[in-house]
Amino acid sequence: MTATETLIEVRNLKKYFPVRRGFVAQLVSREQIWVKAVDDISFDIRKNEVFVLAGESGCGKTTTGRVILNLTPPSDGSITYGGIDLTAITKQEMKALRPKLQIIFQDPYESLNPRLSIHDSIGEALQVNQLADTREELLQRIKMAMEDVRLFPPDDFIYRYPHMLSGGQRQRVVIARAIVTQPEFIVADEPVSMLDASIRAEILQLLKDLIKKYDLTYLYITHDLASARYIGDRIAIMYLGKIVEYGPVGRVIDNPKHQYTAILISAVPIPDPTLTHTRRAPVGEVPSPINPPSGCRFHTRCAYADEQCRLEEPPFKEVEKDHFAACWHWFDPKQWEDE
Amino acid sequence: MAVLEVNNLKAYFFIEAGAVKAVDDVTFALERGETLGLAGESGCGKSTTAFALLNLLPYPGRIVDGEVLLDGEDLTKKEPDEMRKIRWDEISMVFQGAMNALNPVLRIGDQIVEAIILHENITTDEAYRKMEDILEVVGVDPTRATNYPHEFSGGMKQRVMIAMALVTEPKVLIADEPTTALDVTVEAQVLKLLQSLQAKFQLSVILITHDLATIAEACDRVAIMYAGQIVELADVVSIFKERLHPYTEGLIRSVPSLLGTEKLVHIPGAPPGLVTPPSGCRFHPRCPIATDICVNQEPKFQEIKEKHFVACHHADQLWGKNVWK
Ligand SMILES: Nc1ncnc2c1ncn2[C@@H]1O[C@H](COP(=O)(O)OP(=O)(O)OP(=O)(O)O)[C@@H](O)[C@H]1O
Ligand SMILES: Nc1ncnc2c1ncn2[C@@H]1O[C@H](COP(=O)(O)OP(=O)(O)OP(=O)(O)O)[C@@H](O)[C@H]1O
Ligand code: SF4
Ligand code: SF4
Ligand SMILES: [Mg+2]
Ligand SMILES: [Mg+2]
Repeated sequence: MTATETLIEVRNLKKYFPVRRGFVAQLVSREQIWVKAVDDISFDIRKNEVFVLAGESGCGKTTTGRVILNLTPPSDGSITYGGIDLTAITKQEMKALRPKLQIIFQDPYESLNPRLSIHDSIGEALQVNQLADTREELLQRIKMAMEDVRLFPPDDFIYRYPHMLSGGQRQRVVIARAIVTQPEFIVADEPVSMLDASIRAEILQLLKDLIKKYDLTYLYITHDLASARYIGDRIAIMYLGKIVEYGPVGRVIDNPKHQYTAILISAVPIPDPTLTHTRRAPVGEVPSPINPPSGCRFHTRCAYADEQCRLEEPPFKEVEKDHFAACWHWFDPKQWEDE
Repeated sequence: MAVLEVNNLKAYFFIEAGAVKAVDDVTFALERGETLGLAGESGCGKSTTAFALLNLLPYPGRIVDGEVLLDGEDLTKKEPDEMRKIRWDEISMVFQGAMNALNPVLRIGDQIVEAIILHENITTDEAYRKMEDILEVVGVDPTRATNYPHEFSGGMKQRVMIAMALVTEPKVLIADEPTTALDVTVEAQVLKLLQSLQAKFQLSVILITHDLATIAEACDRVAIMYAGQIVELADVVSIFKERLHPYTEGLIRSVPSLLGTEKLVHIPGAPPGLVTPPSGCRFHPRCPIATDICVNQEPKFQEIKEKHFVACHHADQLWGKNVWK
């Protein structure tokens, strides 16, 4: 297997949600309006890599992950997985693929069935797909997954229900549930957001180790650029439903070229109360994805926007090998020097 | 003066395997207008502490001992209906994972309005206006008020929860991981919002988070918890610069930095079970400088330097040193 074999191909993916409106608004206009959650994005995920999708809240990360796993149909575009067009296959075929494609949901409070014990939550996927032959094997695999995610000692937890666990413990159950079937591809949506730094480092290491062990590939969704850098190979930065920059994670973070990426990076807080560094942040609010700005979508908040930015959508250009940005006026650190 | 004083609080969950000692002899005070951070390992008892302060422990949890004084009145002795009034009006809380407490079949705006009308004597029209204002304050476009919860992203729902906790303008706000689902830009907005409310209403905040950058940015003082106990308590600069407890030290050194790719500390072993926590110092099985006394004797939580409290037999050894090499 070559290092750059493509596992997933996403092309011109769109996902629009219809907006329900009040009675009066409907009388005024009949035109259906849409939340353009994902608006024409394309990328490849290579086999055995951790591909990171990052960006501000509401930019469409989770929606992208859900569409890729066929949990919700796209409005337009295609997704192929190892050559199979996921948007065209039958329910039966999808069902057979399911155990190979897993998701670690963003929110462990929502995604665990409150009526299932930890044992049953983790064991369910194994049982449904007949991946454990005996009850002992089932129990053993569940306990192994629990130890992997540091739910220790397993006997203390295994017959508890989700409400008897802390937030981070629930999150680890969700991770255990996703890895127990030994999948090929995992969408990990903010998988460690509720964990303290020490356990987080261990879980990230575990996720990395599983790449070799199970021949795994990840789409890793996060707004935490530090953990993205720690675990990721390549990263795509999203803004308002579009990808604006992508490339190897170190290069994008050390040498951002899109103005939005640059400011997002400088907004990352540093854990040191004595530092009074200026944390930059994009001015104003994220515009509504119902009527996104023309041209470059970031122009309403960008200090370097000009006429061209307002009118024309910037195309992707290669910054350096494998690193692309869609911005008319590339970021240059000198910009900020005399501020 | 302290608004809230917590003395020797113990809160356990009684399950088949035994008593889970989630909060085990916790003492601290919250000063008026300050933000106290509560940080520590996943499962160490932060949320349970918050529930116990509000006298709101879910079954099979119980306050076993200790007192929680709000302006001198012991909340652990209050009847449920007295407590209901005190919650919201005096202390309000943003629960961890609360974004799912939003009613899935009600529009976001209507839910906020409902909360406002329940606590304030104003007309529906005024409540709608107030709802729109508060959405704007937390950075949600008011035209999205007609959306249902599932149509909001995680971060948007979290901001709605913060808005709801603040509509009654309480004295004390307990916020349990309020910015976990938020990206750094919205997080900065929310923290700034909390700070401005604090200045305006003398709001006191207990900020529960595992995120040390949030602590560094938003807190005046910090309590570090480990296995049901507070092991270190000091002002935020001392915690980051002169941490005296090996666990605090390890925790701070395990944070990945954006630019560096330096080797991270990770604390060996797993968090201890809280049914039978380790003897002596609960951290001893994982501590790089543990000695016999640590195994046999529980260290006292004491003031080692002015206003800097630590529970460690060897705190003096840590001064300026990295024990996690
Ligand atoms: N079912 C839905 N109906 C309508 N709008 C939706 C729906 N699901 C998501 N959206 C909208 O699509 C946009 C993108 O949402 P998404 O959940 O993908 O964001 P995200 O990047 O994952 O954000 P976060 O970091 O806060 O989780 C948001 O504006 C959201 O409100
Ligand atoms: N209802 C319950 N029954 C039994 N044990 C419980 C119950 N609720 C919580 N616990 C246990 O009590 C301990 C403390 O939980 P708590 O929710 O306070 O942790 P936390 O510090 O908030 O962690 P996190 O950062 O992961 O949210 C955990 O070990 C948890 O498993
Ligand atoms: S294209 Fe123009 S508006 Fe968009 S980020 Fe670049 S400079 Fe700013
Ligand atoms: S008391 Fe002993 S085991 Fe506990 S933290 Fe201090 S040195 Fe380590
Ligand atoms: Mg999301
Ligand atoms: Mg908690």
